[in-house]
Amino acid sequence: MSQLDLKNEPKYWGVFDFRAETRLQFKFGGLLMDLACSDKDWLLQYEVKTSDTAEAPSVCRISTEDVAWQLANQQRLVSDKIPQQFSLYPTMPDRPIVCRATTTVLLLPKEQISLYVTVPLWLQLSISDVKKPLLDVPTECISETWFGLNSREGVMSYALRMSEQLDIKPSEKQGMRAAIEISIKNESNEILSLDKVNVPAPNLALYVDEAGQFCTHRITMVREQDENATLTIDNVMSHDLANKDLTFVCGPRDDLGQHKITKALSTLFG
Amino acid sequence: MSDVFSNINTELMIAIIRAIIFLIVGVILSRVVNKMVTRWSTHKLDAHIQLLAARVASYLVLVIFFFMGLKALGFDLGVLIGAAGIMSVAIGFASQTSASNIISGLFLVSERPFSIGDLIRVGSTTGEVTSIDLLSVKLRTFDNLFVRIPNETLIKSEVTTLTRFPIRRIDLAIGVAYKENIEHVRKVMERVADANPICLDEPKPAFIFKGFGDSSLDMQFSVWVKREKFSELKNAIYEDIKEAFDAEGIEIPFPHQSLYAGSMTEPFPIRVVSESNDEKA
Repeated sequence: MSQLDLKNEPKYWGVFDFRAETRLQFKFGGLLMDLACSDKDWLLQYEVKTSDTAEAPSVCRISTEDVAWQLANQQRLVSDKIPQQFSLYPTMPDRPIVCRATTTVLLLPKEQISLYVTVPLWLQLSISDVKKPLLDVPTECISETWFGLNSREGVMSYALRMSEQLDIKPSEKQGMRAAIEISIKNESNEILSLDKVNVPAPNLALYVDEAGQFCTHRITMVREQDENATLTIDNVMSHDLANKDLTFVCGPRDDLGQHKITKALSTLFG
Repeated sequence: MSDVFSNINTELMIAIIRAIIFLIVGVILSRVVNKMVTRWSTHKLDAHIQLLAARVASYLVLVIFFFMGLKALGFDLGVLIGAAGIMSVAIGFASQTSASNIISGLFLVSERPFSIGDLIRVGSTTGEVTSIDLLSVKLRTFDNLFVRIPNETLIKSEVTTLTRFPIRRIDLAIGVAYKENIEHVRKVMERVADANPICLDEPKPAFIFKGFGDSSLDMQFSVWVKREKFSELKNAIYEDIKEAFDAEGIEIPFPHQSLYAGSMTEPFPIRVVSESNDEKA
């Protein structure tokens, strides 16, 4: 895996030169972003809309005299020495993603399957010397959900409704989404219902292949004999992409390392 | 004038000055201790325990210096403690309300129904807890008013902690016209909830048909939301439902009454009067 070559053009993420009197307009799935630079300030506008998320990202560099998009959220960055560059990187979501199947998937005892899910990416806009990103937003409109045994104990997550693809490679046109292979083993003597699977998205690093498709490491979930389950982030890429030329995009938001983590069954499967 | 000064006992004066110094040092030290404990516990304890630890430490320092001051004045502490027992009975009778508040405060601290920073509702008052003291709990309401509620009142009344759990439910009372199809209304509302990203996917929104009202079919639609976004969703979802109902042609009726006087009642006679007739008359 090679380091990302930021000098390559055209690009819709990476490090951007941003001089005065220029305007950049980005479209990443449902996220629209308009960034204008004048002598003393930057005006950043963005909005997340419900639109075709499979559409390829695009970037357009125009003059500040051209018409700006009118987007719902605006923020202004002012400084005596306005930065000449900024970085824009896709990242994994900031919370776990709960993937809910449109039809219930049942896994028989002592069996194993691989599910493929694609999760929406977030976008981080940062400037050098400032640790916290100026912007950290999803590239598509995604619902919040609660994942837990009851309304008192659980975690805030994002909800993704999908028809799980069993042993099928994800679509080639996945846009600003990352493909994740989830290997599930049922080592108990009971049928495992996969109504909901909690994907630990913030614990995964993000990679991109030559075709611009994003992917992560494979994760393995094992339902044990008791009421426990183990979660491992494997050292292999999802859907055997290891042989392809992958580029590292960003690390996990919350690094678990390659450790095996034992959790209560209810924290991984709904 | 000189006689007045000669009558003052120099030893007593020195004792009084020493006692005052002890008291001043005690007050200063108690404040220093309070700040030190607060600083030490900032990232280790929650706000409630922080406040309690700082208060206990500062009161302890103050009491020690107070007794040192009394000793400097020549009081026998053994006798004082005995007298304090008798005094406490007398003071207890004289200040029953305060004593009750103090004891209620101790129960509040041990039971911990809420902490500093929590949002609570007591009777008709809703506000953020800013401090939990010996005699009372202080709140800051949404309209930025300072409210002091005696601890005794809190123990006796129903207190609702609005920020106890991470998610909350919003119950929307909705009425539609009798001509509407209930199943269709339910689907429209579910679609509205589904389209709003801050409305939680799980727990699922609940639809309850409440009955045949005076002017409408009454129903309750309950949606879940992250605690911090409660007000945001409450505003948005009513707007969204109104918009969706308008788009689907679902009528939200206003209160009305139909007059009926039995099966034999003839329809109300209606006379149409044109404008030109009015002018002639």
